Amino acid sequence: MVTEKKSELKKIAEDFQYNKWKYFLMLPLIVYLILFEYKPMYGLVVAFKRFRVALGVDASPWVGLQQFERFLTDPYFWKTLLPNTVRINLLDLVFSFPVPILLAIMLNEVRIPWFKKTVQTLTYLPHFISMVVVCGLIEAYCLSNGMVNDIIAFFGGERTNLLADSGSYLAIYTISDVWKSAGWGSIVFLSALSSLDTELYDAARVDGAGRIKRMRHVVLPTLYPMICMKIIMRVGKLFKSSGGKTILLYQPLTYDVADVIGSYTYRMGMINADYSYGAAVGLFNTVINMILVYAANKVCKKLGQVGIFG
Amino acid sequence: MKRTKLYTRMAALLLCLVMLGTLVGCQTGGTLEEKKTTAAENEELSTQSGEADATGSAEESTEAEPIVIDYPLEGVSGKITWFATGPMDLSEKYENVEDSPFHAGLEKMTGVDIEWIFTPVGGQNSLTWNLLQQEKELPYIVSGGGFNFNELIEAGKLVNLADYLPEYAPDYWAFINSDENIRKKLTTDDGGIYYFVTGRDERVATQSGAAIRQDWLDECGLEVPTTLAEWENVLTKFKEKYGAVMCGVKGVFNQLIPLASGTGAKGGIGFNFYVDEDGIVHCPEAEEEFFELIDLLADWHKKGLIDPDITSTNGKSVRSKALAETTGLVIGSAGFLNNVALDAAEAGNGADWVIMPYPTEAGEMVSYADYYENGGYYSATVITTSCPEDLLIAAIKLLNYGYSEEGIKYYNFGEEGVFHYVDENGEIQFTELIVGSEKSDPDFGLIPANEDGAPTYTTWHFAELRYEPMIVEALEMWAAQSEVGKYYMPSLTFTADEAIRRADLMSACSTYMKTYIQKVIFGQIEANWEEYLAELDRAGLQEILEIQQAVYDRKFKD
Repeated sequence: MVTEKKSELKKIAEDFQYNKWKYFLMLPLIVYLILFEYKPMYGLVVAFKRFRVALGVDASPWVGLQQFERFLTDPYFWKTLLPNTVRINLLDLVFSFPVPILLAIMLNEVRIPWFKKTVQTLTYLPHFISMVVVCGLIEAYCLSNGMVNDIIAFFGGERTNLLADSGSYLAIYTISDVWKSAGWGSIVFLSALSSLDTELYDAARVDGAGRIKRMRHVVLPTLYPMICMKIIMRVGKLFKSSGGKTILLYQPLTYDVADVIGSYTYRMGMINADYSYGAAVGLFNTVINMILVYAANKVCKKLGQVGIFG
Repeated sequence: MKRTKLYTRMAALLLCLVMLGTLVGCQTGGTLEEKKTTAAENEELSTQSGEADATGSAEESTEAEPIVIDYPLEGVSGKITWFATGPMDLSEKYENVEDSPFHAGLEKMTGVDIEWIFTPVGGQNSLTWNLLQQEKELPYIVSGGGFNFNELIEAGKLVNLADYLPEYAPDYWAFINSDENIRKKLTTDDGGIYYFVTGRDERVATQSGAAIRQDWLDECGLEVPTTLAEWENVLTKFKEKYGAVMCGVKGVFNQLIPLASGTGAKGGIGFNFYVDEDGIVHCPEAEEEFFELIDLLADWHKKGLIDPDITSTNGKSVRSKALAETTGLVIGSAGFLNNVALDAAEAGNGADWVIMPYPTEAGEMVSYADYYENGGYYSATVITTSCPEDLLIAAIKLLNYGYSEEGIKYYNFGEEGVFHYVDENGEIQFTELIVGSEKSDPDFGLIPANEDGAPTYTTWHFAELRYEPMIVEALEMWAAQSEVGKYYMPSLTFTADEAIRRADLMSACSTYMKTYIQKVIFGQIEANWEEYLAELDRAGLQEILEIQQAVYDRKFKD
């Protein structure tokens, strides 16, 4: 049989004839992406300029790699900011990432519908509470006369200001992250599990697999592709730090573990509205993250899963 | 079969349109559209009105000294656009600017037609300002804080008022010449003056301090402490007798207000460089008095006199601690201290909070580096070069109004009968619109003199009416102790390279300094001041001082 090699464009043209309404459906999204995600990319040039709002992007003077030099030659950047950023994101990856998966698997096993629904609702409610409000609550609870210290004192411990201590700061940061994002994150896994063919369960049971074995051999493998995709995307955030939560929770006493790239850039911006510096830092982070995403993608494919691209 | 296909297509089209519709919603706000049309209008009007305003100014200049501007102005044709933020912003109460008594009244009083531009409700000033800068024409007048006025001066987009002020803004000119330092501080290196700043009575300069429980002092048989040694004594007794500690709002405590004055330190952890009488730039956090203070505080912490939460507590948490009676001495802004007193009165627990004077060594005067006297400013009003020639004079006179006697009264107290009335003793009192009543909350935001940023002078009488008695008492007490502005470092104009270098070094130094100081106070490390100074030098403190000194000398040593 002769197989014709059709050009991609021809394929799209043909498909369009059959599915033109679906293409129209995509149109607003494509316009949105072009206007708000691709066109602003041009603004990245400010990372190589000294941007002055009064002059606009085009008329601001070029300075080459000066902005990058500023933070790459800063010892504080290498000694504190970068390690802190990576550390916080790694903690997030290690503790905050598995929880939604476990939650989804466990919820999947629940047979009482009202209980399942209630737990689901309660766990994903924290997602909707604003980060500012959550941090305000954390501050109040961690004071020496706050709720957390009440519990500590009840078990015979000493009352301290938990947010002023570097060690407990990391714990508080991570735990509150888990609490806030676990429920919402589990939704996507639960939906994947709900599309699981019940025949597979029956087959496994017939083969003599108990609950745990079923989880390991039926449930988990279903989730592998999704887990892989999510890990790739998470890894792509390893060097990212918007610093929002950090700024709300940190103080000079905990700068040595809490200060991340985003929060430091924010403080720098207060002295000298420095958009170019922020852009340069952001670009640097993005490039590294892209390399990591690419690497993670390759690893995933090597492990036999479908990568995000390539 | 055909039917369902038709329905599917229609549904898809409908969905498409809805999504496109939401995209359309992301357009610029109404005010900008407005601006476009008024700019077009202005072009038309200004071409028509050529000499109309020139006659007005010709009249003034033939008058003999002293020059007095007559308001309302006459013969001003054309609208002046004014982007007003901060205290000049339109209150949310009013939908249209015509309903706002202040804005409408201002146009009437000055005789100038103003096209007001405001940040949309819920919007941010900086974002609106960024958008406005993208337009071809800037608003003629801009007032507010946090804007990039330095940049605009560099780009030549602000009008240099130096030559115009004596003739067309005599009241403002008199104000900035009332003290040689004010004009010096406002003048750029090449002799330009670009800002109309808010003047204020000296007594409104201090803002934060401490309060103490008089009833506890009486029970312990002690006087209100005036030196740090007495503070320590009182705190120790409070701890023994009531188990109480010193609490404070973290923002104020972190600046070590009011404690710094106790040893003669010029500032807290803020890197507020100051200038001494000989014109030498200093860093308060690198001096002996500062080290003395920190050592003392570390000692207090060891003795358990300071609240361990003090670096995390905000106003609300300290107020609840005060109500829970775990503290007898609190630090915060004057408004906050007043709230603590009000809480106690409401709770009826017998606590009698009184304002404390700043601690000093043997009655010396207090002078913090960051007290700003007149000439210093956080917000300002400027005129942009988009203002056409024939309206420029009118704009300057318009802004001068706020500094004239009539204008000061208007900006501080509004129109008689609307915002204020004169009582039996001939004193000005605010109406219910401002001070509120049983039915409505007070709304001092309607008065521009309430905040820094309006082109006017904030009077002491306004402060007396504005603030509760306890706050007024505090401001007077602290002002009497202080030499406001003695060491104030004026804002300097750095070149672009100097600014970048300085910003980098300051971030590094201030991060190190804040961390070190707090760790010393809270006993996490032992103080070693030589090491501290060496590390600061390594981080670039000397270079910062040199840059600042060079720029200061450039401006003031001639």
